[in-house]
Amino acid sequence: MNCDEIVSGLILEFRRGTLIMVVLAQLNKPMYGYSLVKELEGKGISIEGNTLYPLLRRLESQGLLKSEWETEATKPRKYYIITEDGKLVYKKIKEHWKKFSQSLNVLMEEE
Amino acid sequence: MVKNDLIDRYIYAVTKHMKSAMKKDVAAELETIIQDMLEERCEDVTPTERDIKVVLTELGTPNELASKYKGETQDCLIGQPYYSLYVYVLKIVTVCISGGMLLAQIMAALTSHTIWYTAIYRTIGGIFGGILTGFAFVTLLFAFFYKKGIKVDGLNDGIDNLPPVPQKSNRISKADAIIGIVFSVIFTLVFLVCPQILCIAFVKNGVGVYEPLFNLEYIRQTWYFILAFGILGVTKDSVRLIDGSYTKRVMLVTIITNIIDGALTSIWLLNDRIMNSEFFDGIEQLFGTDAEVISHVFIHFNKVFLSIIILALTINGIETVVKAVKYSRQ
Repeated sequence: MNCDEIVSGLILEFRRGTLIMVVLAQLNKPMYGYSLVKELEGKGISIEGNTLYPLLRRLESQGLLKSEWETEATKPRKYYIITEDGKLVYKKIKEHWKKFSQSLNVLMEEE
Repeated sequence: MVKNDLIDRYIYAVTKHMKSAMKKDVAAELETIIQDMLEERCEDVTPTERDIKVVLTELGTPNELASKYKGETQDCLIGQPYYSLYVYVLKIVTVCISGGMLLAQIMAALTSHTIWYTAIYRTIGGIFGGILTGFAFVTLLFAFFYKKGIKVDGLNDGIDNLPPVPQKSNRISKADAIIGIVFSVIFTLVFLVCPQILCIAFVKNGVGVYEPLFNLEYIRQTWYFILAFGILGVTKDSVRLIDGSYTKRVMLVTIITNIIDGALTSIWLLNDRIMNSEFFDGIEQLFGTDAEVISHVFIHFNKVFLSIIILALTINGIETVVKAVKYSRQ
């Protein structure tokens, strides 16, 4: 059994599972892809750009985010912000996450 | 803004198979992201080729990134970037087979005086059978491309091996490739289902007679040749559709398929049995005194037909090689 491989696989799964929640939590104000990567990095959550940028588009196509091109600055940038549907989804998964993590903590305390 | 050929190639490779609206948007966004990453890495210093390579490597290989944009995993029979094209080609082949088979069966019924309900039964059976065969063939073809693509990606998808953004003259238009696929499907259907429509019609003893140009028995016996022509044609044009430009792969596939096509066509057309001898009796009936001249033209029809095909294959082969060499130098 390769322990490290299994652990890194599980960590990857955790990250994948919580990534959408993390993104929705941050997009209360408009941000462009790269600034979001940096912002999350500053908060101790590192996400690879090649995972985040496609995810932003996917969330946009699901109606959880909306985007707008800012062309007046020197560099044209695409800004994303959470939609009303996105806020609703975020609220629900946040509640679920809190309950789930509480239960999980209790479960692990029992060990 | 850093303008660099490598960045253009990378963005082109990522967005190549996306739908046009998405392509433009992703390309613009990716361009800004790369510029931001370069700016952070190099600050006020102009980025070197090495900096650009590091940044692009950080973003991942173009196929990896393209798959993520499509939200695809590789644990499937046909994944991106092949899946969109697979669906596209499948639609074309299905429409061609349905339309072509319907037309072919109608022609077959008209020229062989079949009872109407038998003709309907044959038409429905033919369409279903044809669609099923087409579906199986296109699926197998693209599953092969996809599996093969994974291997090729591992070797050639690095930042150093990105294909150049093709100039207009080096692009293969979708329309050309589609016309090629449609032609191959229709050719196969006509020769498999109703080769008798290539005929002359005349009245003999007060009865309308259709005399086919080719020996139908021979054509039916050599069905595998006709199927091979169809498969070669669809394969060649599918690769053209996938690559969208005169790549080395397009060149290689064109050369191989054209050589096999030419060899098989020669064997098939140069067989003594291919022409229908009764066709010439028909010409005599129809043209009377002029029949000898016209018969003389048609007696070598198979050789003339073969020469045209070989000429077309050669021109197509040379054009592809020249454009592929030009493209590789770009």
